[in-house]
Amino acid sequence: MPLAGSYGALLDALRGVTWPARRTIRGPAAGTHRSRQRGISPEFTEYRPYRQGDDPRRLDWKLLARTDRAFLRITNDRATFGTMLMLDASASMAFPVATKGKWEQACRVAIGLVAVARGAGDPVGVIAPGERGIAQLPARTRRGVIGEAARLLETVTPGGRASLVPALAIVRPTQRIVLISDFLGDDDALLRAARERITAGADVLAIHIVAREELEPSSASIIAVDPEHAELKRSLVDETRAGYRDAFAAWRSELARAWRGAGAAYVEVATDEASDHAVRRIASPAIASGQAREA
Amino acid sequence: MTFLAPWALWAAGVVSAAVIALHILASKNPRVTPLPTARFIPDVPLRATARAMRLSDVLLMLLRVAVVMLVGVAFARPEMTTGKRPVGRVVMVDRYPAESDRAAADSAQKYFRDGDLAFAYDSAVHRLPGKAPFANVSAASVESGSGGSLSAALAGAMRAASTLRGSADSVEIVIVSTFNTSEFDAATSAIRAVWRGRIRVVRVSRDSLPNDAQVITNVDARANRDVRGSPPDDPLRASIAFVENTGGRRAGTDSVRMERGSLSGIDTSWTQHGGTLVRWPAALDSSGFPAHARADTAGAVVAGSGSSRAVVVAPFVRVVDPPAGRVVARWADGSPAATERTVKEGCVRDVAIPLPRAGDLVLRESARRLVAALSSPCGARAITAPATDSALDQLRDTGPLVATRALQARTDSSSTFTTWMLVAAFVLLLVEPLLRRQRAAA
Repeated sequence: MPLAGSYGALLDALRGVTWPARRTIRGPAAGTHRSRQRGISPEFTEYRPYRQGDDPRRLDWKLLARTDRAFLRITNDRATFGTMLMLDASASMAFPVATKGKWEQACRVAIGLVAVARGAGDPVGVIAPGERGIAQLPARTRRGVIGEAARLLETVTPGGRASLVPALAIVRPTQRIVLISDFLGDDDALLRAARERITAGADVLAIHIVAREELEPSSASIIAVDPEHAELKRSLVDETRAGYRDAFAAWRSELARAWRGAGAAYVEVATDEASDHAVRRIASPAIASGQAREA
Repeated sequence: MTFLAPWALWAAGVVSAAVIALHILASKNPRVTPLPTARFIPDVPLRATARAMRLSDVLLMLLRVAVVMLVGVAFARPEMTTGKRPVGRVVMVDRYPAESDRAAADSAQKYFRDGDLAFAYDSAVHRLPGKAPFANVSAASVESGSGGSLSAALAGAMRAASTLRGSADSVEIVIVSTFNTSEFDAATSAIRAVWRGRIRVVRVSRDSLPNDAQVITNVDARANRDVRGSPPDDPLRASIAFVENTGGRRAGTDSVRMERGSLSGIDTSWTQHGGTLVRWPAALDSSGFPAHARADTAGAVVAGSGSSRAVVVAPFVRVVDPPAGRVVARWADGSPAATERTVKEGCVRDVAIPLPRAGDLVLRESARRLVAALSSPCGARAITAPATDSALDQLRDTGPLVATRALQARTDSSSTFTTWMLVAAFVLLLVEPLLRRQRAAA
């Protein structure tokens, strides 16, 4: 488990990175994301004839003087976008056992996204359901939110079979919801819940953490046991290795298709990928625009 | 350093090789490893083992081999080699010729060196101390004129040979005797076979032996016996009556006088004129016989030899020993129960065997034979044939001397090396499961 102070290099590497919303939002406060509202920002968009009931302060008085016609000056507003990062802290994230690489990568990506969102002035929070309940940091914009998120994640030890689904219900649907998980738990239930959030207006981003040891298991023969279902034991030997790779790849492909089909963004992050690189990839406009299909 | 049981080293080597082979060749159980994506592995029956053809767990293997070798070295009984003589000797001399013929003692002395062991034997083996042990071989307990027991001599020599382990590399047994046929018995060849080495056999001439060796060789049941100094209900009288009833009584004068009380001058005179006087006091504790070192109970008494041997098994209470003389009866532990000495033309036989007044012991066949043997006239000279050359060759045998390291220690004196080897092996055995657990967790 990395300490809060150990994120310094990561935060330095992410300085200046922006993470635009995938679509226009309806934010209450001025921010960096394009808002659905037309407002009074200096960025001119168009004129609209004055109608009864419009705010007379938005009249373009100079144009009225020149043309004797009343027009309103229409501008695009910029708004903040609340972001909630939800980390899967189930036992499968504590893999490999020696390094807990998946959980560490999830924490680093989460902290990186918190920093990027915080840099844009967005309120950002963290939720990590674990064995001992849901560790939660409500969405905030204050400067110390990065440290608070790091300290919160320090208190969480991956284990058990905690699900993200109950936690997803307490998130406001208008927020950006980032699910950081290996999706090896109740992925179907999570997808259904996420679809409901998306329908309600949430912007859902699924970040799939995959361990390199899962992608390319060692050549040694082992009896593999599912850490969340101890009764599930399979023999990973030369005869079953190819079948495992094919099945795992097919499942990941199907998972990406399902999430994208539900309207969410899907990004796969391996444990051996540099965290800052992963964060940049997640925050990239391609992902934001939904064009990216493969990591 | 030498090993007294090198076979243990060979055995340890074989076991170690097996351990190494198991580490190289044996199937091993695959490790049980958490894998969150285990569900994507095709569901085939679990295979419990997987062959590993490469050397696995080198440290664990070395530890196991070390344990096996330490135990093997410990059981091989290592000993530091010190300056030892090449050959140590156990010199056994037949007591009868040694006390009668100076040449026999000199022959035995010729083979004796400092550090060797000297023994005289008759029916038992007696240690002879000193640097000239054969100069004074006592004749006090010579049992018979026909020589001692080679079985007893061999058993005693083998037992004594192990004491030379610390001072000699090899052991040679030297036996000096006339080697009569009577010295061989049924156990001799079997005992000889136990000693896997040659034996030096030194035969002394029988011609120089005196002719006064008397022994109970012919029990004369029909001899005329006169029991004196005892009441009519004396158990000895009852037993004598049985003997005479069985064998009959020869007409003529008494040839054996049995005195149950004190001796008189008439007895002495009668003895000097060729009579046999058997002094068998009814009250042994007041008989004037030397007191036994400590009153105890002997389980049996033996008299006679050959077909006339009599063995009586009963709890005899020993309070006295017979006076010095030729032993004609022995207790079960080999100490004399009756002795005999020549007095001019006759002889006096002293018997220190208590006869119970109660019970029917004296009426039994075994007791009757004992009484008949001890009440027979002083016997004729023992006539035994010399052992054949083939018998001596069998006794001598060929081959090397026996190495002392092959001899069992008389006492359980495991060496310090053995102790430390076993301690080290035990410590490594304690480490082994820890290392195995650590390897399993890795």
